[in-house]
Amino acid sequence: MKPNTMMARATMTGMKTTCLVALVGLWMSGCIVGAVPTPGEGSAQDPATATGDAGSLGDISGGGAQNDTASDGGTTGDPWGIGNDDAGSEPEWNVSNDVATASDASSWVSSSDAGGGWSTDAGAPTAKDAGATDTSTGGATGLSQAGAQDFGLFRQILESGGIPSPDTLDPLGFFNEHKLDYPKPKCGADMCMHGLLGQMGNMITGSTCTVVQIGLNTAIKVDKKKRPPLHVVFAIDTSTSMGGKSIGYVKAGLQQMLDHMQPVDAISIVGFSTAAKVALEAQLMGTGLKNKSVVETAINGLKAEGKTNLYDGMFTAFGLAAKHHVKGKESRVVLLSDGIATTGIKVSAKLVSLAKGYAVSGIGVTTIGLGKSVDLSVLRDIAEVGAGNFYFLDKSEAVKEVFTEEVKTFLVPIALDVKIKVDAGNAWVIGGVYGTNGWKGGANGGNIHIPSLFLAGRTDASKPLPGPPGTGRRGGGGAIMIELVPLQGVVNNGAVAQLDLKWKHPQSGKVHVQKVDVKGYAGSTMPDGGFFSHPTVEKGFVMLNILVGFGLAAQLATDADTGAARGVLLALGEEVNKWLKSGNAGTPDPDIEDDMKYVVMFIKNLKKQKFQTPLSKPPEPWPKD
Amino acid sequence: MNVHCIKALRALPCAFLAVGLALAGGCEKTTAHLVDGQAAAPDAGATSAAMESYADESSGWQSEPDEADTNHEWDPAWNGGVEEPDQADAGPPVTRNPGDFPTFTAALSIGNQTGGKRVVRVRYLKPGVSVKCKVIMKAPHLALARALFAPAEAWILPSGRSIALNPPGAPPQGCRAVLIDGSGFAMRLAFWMPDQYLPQSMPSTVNGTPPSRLLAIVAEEGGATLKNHPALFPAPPTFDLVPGPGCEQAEASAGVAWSEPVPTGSQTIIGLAVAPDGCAKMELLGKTGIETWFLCAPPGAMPFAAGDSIAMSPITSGHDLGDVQGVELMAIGKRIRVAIGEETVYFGKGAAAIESAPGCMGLHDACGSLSMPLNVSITPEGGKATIAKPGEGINLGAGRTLWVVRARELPVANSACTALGSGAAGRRVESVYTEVTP
Repeated sequence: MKPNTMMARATMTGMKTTCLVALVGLWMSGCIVGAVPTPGEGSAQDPATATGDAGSLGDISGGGAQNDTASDGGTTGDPWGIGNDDAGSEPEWNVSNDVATASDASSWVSSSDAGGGWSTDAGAPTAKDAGATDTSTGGATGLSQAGAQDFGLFRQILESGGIPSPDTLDPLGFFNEHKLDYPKPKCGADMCMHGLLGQMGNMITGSTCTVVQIGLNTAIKVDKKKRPPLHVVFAIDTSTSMGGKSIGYVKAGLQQMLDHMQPVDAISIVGFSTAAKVALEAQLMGTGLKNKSVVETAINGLKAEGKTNLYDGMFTAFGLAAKHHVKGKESRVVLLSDGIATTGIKVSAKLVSLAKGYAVSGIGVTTIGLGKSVDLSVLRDIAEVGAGNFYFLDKSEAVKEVFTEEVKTFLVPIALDVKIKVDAGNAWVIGGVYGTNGWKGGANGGNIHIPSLFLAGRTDASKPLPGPPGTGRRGGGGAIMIELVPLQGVVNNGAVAQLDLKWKHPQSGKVHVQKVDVKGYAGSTMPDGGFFSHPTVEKGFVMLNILVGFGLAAQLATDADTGAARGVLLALGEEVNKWLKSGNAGTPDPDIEDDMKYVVMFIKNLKKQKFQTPLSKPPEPWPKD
Repeated sequence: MNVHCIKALRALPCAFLAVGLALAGGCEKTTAHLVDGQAAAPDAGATSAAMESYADESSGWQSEPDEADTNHEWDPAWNGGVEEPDQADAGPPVTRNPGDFPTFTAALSIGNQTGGKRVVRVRYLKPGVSVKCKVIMKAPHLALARALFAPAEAWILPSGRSIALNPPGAPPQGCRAVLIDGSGFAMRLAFWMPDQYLPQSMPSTVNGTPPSRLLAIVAEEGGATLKNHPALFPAPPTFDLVPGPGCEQAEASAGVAWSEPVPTGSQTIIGLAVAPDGCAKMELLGKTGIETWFLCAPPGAMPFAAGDSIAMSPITSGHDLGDVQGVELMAIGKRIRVAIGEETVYFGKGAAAIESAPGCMGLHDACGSLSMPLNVSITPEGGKATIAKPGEGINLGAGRTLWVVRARELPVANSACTALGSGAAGRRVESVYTEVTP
């Protein structure tokens, strides 16, 4: 057996370590932590929960969902005349006196009706998320976190008959390929948070599992949005390693993207191999074909040769973006590379610090990985700290998907510096957090930090996947899943968790807050099949199980235990298949059905391996409640 | 065994499991391993067939997806109710005398005393991991993160048989660390110093192996366990320990860096751009033409401007500028030294004292390296001692400034981790010294 480890280098990136063994820890997080902590344990030593960061949120009274914003009024600081968010004189993050205002939402709608900004159907704030079952569904746009947007490399390896290594499966990217229909966004702001509860037996060994699913969505409609003018700087790896299909993908993608640029947008192109070269500087798109032709000529002139001076490429691209950065224009670097530096500064942390430094000044970076050997973690980390997304182009269909569909959303963030404070209820401890790279905390609570949020293109979970067969499922929006474990001998006061959201509007700088209490199941006996406070939690639960199953199987396969890996996938596949046939009111789900295709593929690939260990019972993926 | 060979072995763990002989890439593995109760056969094909036969018979699995089928739809007829293979199926009984089986030379072995076959997984430290053994030996399980260990080699170990624990590539004086787990028993860490158990010849059977050299898998209710042994420790935790007070450190991204090769001799700076994180791109005109060179120092540290004529030279260990490696740039009235090493770069008159920061027992990064922050106290000539803070320069007077960018002790280092930069376990002080004479 030859597990496909595309990564040659390890980097420092939170839980996305390239260490295969450590990933067992990740997948088993909260599972083989044998002793359930006692009440109070962890909080005293937990710097994340001890900070006063979210202290001002305590001023907000009452349970249920609330959204608080500073009052809106003028349009100062709103470069596109949206009129919804007003930077005014309000200092950043100083929002302890926020008052919820209905006018916040209404002014938003009216301004967007005027055609000055994002189009929304936002209504007044409601208290829908108070823990009771809520069956309203959205058709609303999801929001995706900065960082990985797909699990394209994992898919590619399976499709080529290989065995993916655990580090090729990024939870954030995997979740982002799942569209989850959250309750309608009625909090009154650009972004609404939903805290939903699910309790059921896990799909690998059957032991009970409790999760809180955090979903973020928006009333903004992707197709009707108007975005600020852009200056996009493409930093394109033109080293030898990008030869063949890779450079072809780049050229094809850029050509397709041109059709989605607006006359007021500008494009720069920096090619980098042994050194960086500016191929095009701030070319305005304009309305005629002449300017487009200039861009196309620059694109077609790219050739793959030489070493990879990734640092020089990024440095030069950011420098160009900064040179032409003006108020009222969004500046963004789009890096296309395999992420493997072979000359210049090769310490990946310096790439990350460069992106971070420019993100502070409002210049974000989106990364697109391609090539036979890709350093996923470098590209992922750069995007994450650089207020951007990371995509992997696994096949030609993905080029179209990313450059024609995703490009509508990944260039301009919806929210910046998003913080979610999570407090476990008195009778619960946190066993694991999945679907975010920004978690810092302990057993009783912690904080999730998301550098930026973007619109997710898909709006309805029940609709077939966009694009022709073979197209990916990007644009789902995903979720953050918090696994909770009940404390023994503690009387439950009803609350499972409390969530406090705080975020900053990218253009106005205004701070918004929202609070959601997640209540436990109120009945005396848990229903057969579990309890879900909203239908979409059920899908989230299945999605989480598949993620954990894939991760466990990949780890076991990497550890040469094909039998145990097959055992995990067979148990998982059977339960997921049951869910598809009988759960969710018999409604088929295109995302989960597509996941199942890869479960089957994975099993077949494992069986193709020459040497086998005995088929064995799956290990316990979660602690039993 | 070189790194290439180690990689080849790890990429083919099952082949290693079944064959246990010479593998691809020219690697040599001289120790014979055992499969299914038989001495490893030199005929890989025959052994492979035996393995597959065992898998089919023991699992009883008949309805899995057929790997030849190109359809990827799930078939409900497939039975997902996987059961543990019958552990009582011990395979061919070990009826021969211990002397009939091959021997191996090892410090310790792991043996199966459960009465049934067991899958055993062993994980050795990755190549490039270095350890200050005496620093961590009291609690190795807390110091050695799981991220430091390579993917497992898996074995099907019949009852009564044993395998050698021979960490590949371990330095002669270095400590040994192995993660062990398997079917039905939980993970443990085996850790020992080389002088605790001198390598000796022992049989590949439990019988005949000295108890002090055997890590025994024994049956217990509902499964198995590793019998207590002085070399066994708990498994490293799967979660990050909450860092104690005093563990605050400069971010990895705040470190110093420069691109290689470093131009030397006289240069004229014809272009200089500085990024927000302090990294500077310099266009240098020298004897060989124009070169682009990068230097990352704290924001504000760069004393030069475009048009300056400078002299550049590397700083090497053993140099009179300290036990450090780095680079020095000089011009009339201006100087910058950027270095990494056991101490701060030489900064003229004054003194530096380095000691452990109180309260922090260590912090793992994602690569598994363990770092402990150091306090660097700088005393300018005739001045008061000041503890350097990351990112803040200490004014030494007369236009001289010292930055201690990062200072850490690394009892465990993973040199493959690019976030930290390469380096072995030990002390690592990153410092920058500047002079600007009016």
